[in-house]
Amino acid sequence: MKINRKAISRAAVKRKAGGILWKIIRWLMIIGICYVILYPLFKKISVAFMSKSDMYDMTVKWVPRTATLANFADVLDLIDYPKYFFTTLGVSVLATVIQVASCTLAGYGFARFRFRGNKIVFFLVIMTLVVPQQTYMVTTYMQYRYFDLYGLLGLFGVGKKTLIGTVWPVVLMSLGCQATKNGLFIYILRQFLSRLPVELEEAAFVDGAGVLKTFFRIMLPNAGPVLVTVSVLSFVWTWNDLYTASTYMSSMPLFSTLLNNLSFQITRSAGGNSVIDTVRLSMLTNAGALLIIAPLLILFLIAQKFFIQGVERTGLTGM
Amino acid sequence: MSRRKMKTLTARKARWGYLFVLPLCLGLIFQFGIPTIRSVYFSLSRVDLSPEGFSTTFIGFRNYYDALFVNTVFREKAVRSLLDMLLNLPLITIFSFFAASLINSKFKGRTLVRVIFFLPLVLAAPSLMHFDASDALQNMMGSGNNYKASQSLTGIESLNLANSLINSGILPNAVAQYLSEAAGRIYDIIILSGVQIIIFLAALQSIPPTMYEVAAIEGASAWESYWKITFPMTSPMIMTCMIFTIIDSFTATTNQTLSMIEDTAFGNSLNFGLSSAMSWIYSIMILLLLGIVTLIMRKVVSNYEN
Repeated sequence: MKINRKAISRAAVKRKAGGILWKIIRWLMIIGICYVILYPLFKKISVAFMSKSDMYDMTVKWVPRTATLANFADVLDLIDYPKYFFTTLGVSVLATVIQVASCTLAGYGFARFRFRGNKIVFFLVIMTLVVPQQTYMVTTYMQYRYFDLYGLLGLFGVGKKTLIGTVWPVVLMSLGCQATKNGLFIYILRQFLSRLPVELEEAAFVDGAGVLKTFFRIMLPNAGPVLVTVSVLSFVWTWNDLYTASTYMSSMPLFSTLLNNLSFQITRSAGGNSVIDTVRLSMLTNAGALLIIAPLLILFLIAQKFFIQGVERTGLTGM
Repeated sequence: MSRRKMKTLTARKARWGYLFVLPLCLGLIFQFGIPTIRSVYFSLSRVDLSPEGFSTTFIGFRNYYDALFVNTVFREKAVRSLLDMLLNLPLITIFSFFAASLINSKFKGRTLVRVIFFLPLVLAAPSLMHFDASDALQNMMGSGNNYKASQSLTGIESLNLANSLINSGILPNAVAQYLSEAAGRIYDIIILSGVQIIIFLAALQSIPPTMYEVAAIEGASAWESYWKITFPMTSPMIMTCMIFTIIDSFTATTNQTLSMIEDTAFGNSLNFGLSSAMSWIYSIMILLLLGIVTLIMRKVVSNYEN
């Protein structure tokens, strides 16, 4: 009896020690990873708030001695921030709404209807993810450069138009679920929607609701978490989408193309290399980069609760 | 009898499916299918541009020959992308699995940690990565000028690590090289793992908590239940994660090969045929690799189950 109790208590002590050790290791790893993720962000914040004397002062490492907002004010003078902001916001919101709508329809179609050829169509959806957009970039570009609505405009005697430099290519691709990573959204939505209990719909169907009514009244209200996840991803990826922006909308004031050649833009607006030196340019570009990513960061901080809940309940797992 | 009724009901309902996938199907035909087929044709042609439109002349496999044997830069870049991906693949898979288990366990401040772990989803913007790279360059150039170099994480430290690892002689050179390269890539690995962490986190969440309760009652330690429950339950997701990582790294806008393909088309040369040929060689490379990885993983998984 006695020995047994001793052994048990020894095991308990051992387990407790192991638990504490594990906790310490876990926190060390968490802090390490967080440091790596946040380092570039903090570096940008630190440089953006520095004054020029801080930049040359070797004793100043992270916290500026004379913090200033001058860099931000200067960047806002050099770049028409509101114009860029509202254009990017408009394009992103438009694309997100359309993408989520058309991908949800498709996801529901795959989740609930065994129509003929559904496997082939779904295989093609996966292929849109696997084949890089650059493979059909040239022909797609041509399609929008000499646009005739897939041959339809010619029937009405309307000539070919160029859609390059407008938001139309993105709108059309979002409608057809062919914008960036839309195949992934369809996959996620299909996984989630096929896991919702089928009895709900059957009950609605028996009660006389049509397929469309069932979709809007029963399916959509229950798909909240996954819709948040997909919307956030769609919004963020459209906002950051350098490829689409530079291929089809390079003449539009968008943040992704601006950030891509920020130092060039700032130098040009300031009046050339002679006016602006490397150190000052670095301060301004860091402030500018912060201003550009700030809206996304704020959105993410607001939406993170729902987003993470959505991730947990989404069942991306395919099991 | 009731069975027949059910069948007709599903059959009738099935037709509605076409309505739901109609936008997708139109997109697949006009925005994926037709451009893809035409790009095969482009890759076999010379494309001439004129103000009114463009004309194509069929030239057979000339573009493919040019891409592979005349323009050697493309070959180098494609191999480099492949090696990069092979180096990152195990690291991203292991890291994201590990990170997902970290933020799945309960502890104080988990909400904040989760937000930080998901930040790479926002921060992985290609233009932001371009920006960081160019800024690091600027910092390095300015550093001689009494200007604080913000040491990039990949910089001096990892070099020292490589040397000390090789000098210590404990590990074979190749392993030491790989480890030190991996250390230099920590930032890339973490920033590229956003979606993969989501995949694993969702898998972890789908394990019923009762399994852990049973294991705890039976006297299993946390370590044991991790390897006996968590790992086997989530390992099917490893393949999903690897496939996603391969696709993501090959189709990322920051990929060197893809920027070269874009430059060939829209740069000074405007060589649409060559660009299409390059991208087809590249796509076939991806498909082959995906096939190989899927086969290997299937074999590994079935061995594990047996």
